[in-house]
Amino acid sequence: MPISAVLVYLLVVNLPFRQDSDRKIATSENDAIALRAQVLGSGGVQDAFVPWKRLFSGESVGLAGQPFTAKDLGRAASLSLGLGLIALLLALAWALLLAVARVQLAASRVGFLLEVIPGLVFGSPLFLLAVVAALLAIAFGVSFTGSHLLAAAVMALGPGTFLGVVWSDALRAEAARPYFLAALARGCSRRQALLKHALPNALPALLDAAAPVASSLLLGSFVAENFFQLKGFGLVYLEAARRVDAGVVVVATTLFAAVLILVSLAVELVRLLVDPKARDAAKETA
Amino acid sequence: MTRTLLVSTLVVLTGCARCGKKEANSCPPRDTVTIALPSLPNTLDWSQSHEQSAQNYPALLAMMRGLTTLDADNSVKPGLAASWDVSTTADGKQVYVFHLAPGVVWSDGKSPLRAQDFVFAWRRALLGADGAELEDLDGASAWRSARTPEAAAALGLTAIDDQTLQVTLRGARGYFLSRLANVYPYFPAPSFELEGKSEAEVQRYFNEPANGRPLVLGAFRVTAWDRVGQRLELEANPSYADKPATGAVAHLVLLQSELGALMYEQCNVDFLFFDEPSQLARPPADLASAKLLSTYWLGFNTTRVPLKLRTAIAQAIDRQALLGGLSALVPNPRIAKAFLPPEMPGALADSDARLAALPASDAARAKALLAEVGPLPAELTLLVRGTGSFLPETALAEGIRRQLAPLGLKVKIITTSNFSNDVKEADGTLRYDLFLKRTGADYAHPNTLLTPFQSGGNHYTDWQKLEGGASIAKFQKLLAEGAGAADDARRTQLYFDAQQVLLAEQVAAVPLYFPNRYFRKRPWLEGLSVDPFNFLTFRAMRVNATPPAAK
Repeated sequence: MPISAVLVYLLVVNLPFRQDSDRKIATSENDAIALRAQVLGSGGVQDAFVPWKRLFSGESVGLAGQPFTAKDLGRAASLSLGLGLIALLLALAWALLLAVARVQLAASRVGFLLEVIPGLVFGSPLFLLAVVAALLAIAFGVSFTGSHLLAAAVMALGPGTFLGVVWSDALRAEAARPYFLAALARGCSRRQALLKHALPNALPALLDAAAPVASSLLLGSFVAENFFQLKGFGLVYLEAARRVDAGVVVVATTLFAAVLILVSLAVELVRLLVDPKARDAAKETA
Repeated sequence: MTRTLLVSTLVVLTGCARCGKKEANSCPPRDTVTIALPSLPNTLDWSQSHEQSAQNYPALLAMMRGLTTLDADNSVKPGLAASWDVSTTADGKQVYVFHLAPGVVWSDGKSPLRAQDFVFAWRRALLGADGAELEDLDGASAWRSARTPEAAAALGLTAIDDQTLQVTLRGARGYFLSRLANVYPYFPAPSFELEGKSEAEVQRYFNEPANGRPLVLGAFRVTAWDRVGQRLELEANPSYADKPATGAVAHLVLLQSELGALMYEQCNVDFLFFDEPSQLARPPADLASAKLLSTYWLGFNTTRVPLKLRTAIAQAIDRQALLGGLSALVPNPRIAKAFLPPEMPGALADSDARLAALPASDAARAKALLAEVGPLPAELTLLVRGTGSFLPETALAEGIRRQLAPLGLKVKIITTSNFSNDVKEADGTLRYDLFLKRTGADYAHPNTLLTPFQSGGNHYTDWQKLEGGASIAKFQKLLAEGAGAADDARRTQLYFDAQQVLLAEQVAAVPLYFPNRYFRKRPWLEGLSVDPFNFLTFRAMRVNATPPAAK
């Protein structure tokens, strides 16, 4: 995380300074540069944490637009985090539904349709889904809470479908294993065998997909917050990037990097809990 | 890309909403008036201010007042000062003694406004992001650089007693009283609450509103500021003496949203700037407009475009035909015969014969001049704002291109989203031959619109290099004399003479027209308008629940 903080700082701070000023007298540029130096430091590695220090001391980091403080950014982040968690739950629920349906109904009439769904979802740009959902939300006068749920659903559709495909493939592989056939031979129904035996064994495959899903949810939050005008971290970040508001971009990018790193860490911990092979490998390494 | 898509989608959505059930004009009056703005303040600290100060004005003008105020004809009248005396010292300094209006109290309802509140605020303002606005104060430069008690004492700013403020200016500044009405760094601050606090604490006092703070003197005080949600909530200042007798607005919400137009259609917003000129052809029933004290003009890179060619272009442009051809985008245009709009105090009326001395449309003379120029440039580049403007700038550029084409002048239009950044190289060299720009007044005095053409101003014409700087020196001398002129007629003549140097002798710019600003508001919302400086004015806002038809 410190490495990503320093890299982002060096990249953003050393971008050409663009200030659109309508002032009548050309004295503002020097003042603007001085303010920028105050918020961002000199641009050298030693000053990479200047924006963070300002935040921790209660000062703001917004340069071009709103003077965001730690409290402001914390509120935006909590909204995005909440939205992300709802989206994650929706994605998991949709993935489970899709995975089980694809395995159970493969031979039925709807099996073909279930095979087509991932292609349709992956082939549709996220912003298009967001546009349609935003249009529906407005047309039907969806409430404040409803629009947040809809936004979360838009965010969840792609990652959920991806997880569903990964999960169903893993389930199919498990369904061909001897223990599954033995369970069927002992009188278990196919559904029971899937849910009781195959599903837990297919969980590690899901964990492999966790990192791309987290990135996808993050990207989804940018798009959904923008189209639904939800004042979360994604919208703050996009606006800051558009205005080249380096202070906010530095802080936000570092936070995003931190979230992705923490997700990877959490995934590995969960893997140790649910995957005996991973536990054994860890013991051997130890 | 995403932003363009978003905006396009919103346009579609707005269209859909119009087909919906709600009729925008049927939206009933509400306790809380909600206003959608293109951008919200970046600070509420009117003394400290910010590099980009324009977006702060609507909120700060709602919250505060100055020593003077403006009448309907833009003339100066008493504000927080009931009266003032002006004198000149032997060394040419101008001394104003302001007598504060009795009985004015801050929004806590008990603390009186004192002269010390101005001293405290102006000293801070001089050190803030907009400090240059107060440069006319005697000793301002020394205070800004030294910041010592001696420099503070030497500053031309003294509270003689609680009710009397003495201000000494470096010289005669006829525009000073006008500036006090509008330019917010001149507003006072509650010194009794702020003295002794650190600078960080003072900034937090303004920017983290709580418990009725910051104290204000205007019609509204802030109750909450959600910077992420881009929402500013205000309530009526109970101590504001000039509130309307009936229909006073108790709560005011300012918000910034890409969905503003949609929210207006759905009755969630009561005021909205109508900044899409292409939609003026089919104006909504509640569309209103305000005349701005601002000028839209064509500027020349005088280093690359020689005087004869500049004069020929100025005469080749037929403003009447140009704007007549854009009547759908610019309804009822106010054609500019000079740089100063006739509504500006100290400007010439449109009918004044002296205006004939400035370049006007004359195709025959333009052709004759072009013949004298010699080989014409293969192409002239014209820079214009492509986005972020409430004017049809690219259509105006296209109109100019068409008018110049028959004369053999080929114009290439270049659009920008960051004008001040793109107009010049990092070393200050101008990139293009021509550009289009709007300059708006900050206060009701000719000086404000001509200030950019002084040396160090953002005129982007390089005209300070012409004749070794003699022309700009002559121009600045006229401005200085105009600022010091006590007699109105003399002042008007001096500012006209300055325009003659700029527009006729050197043809550094061609004024085209004086723009209006369009907006929509509920019929029951009275007194809410856009002032000549392009800022929303809330002071006289009231709700009249009686439907207009029933009146």
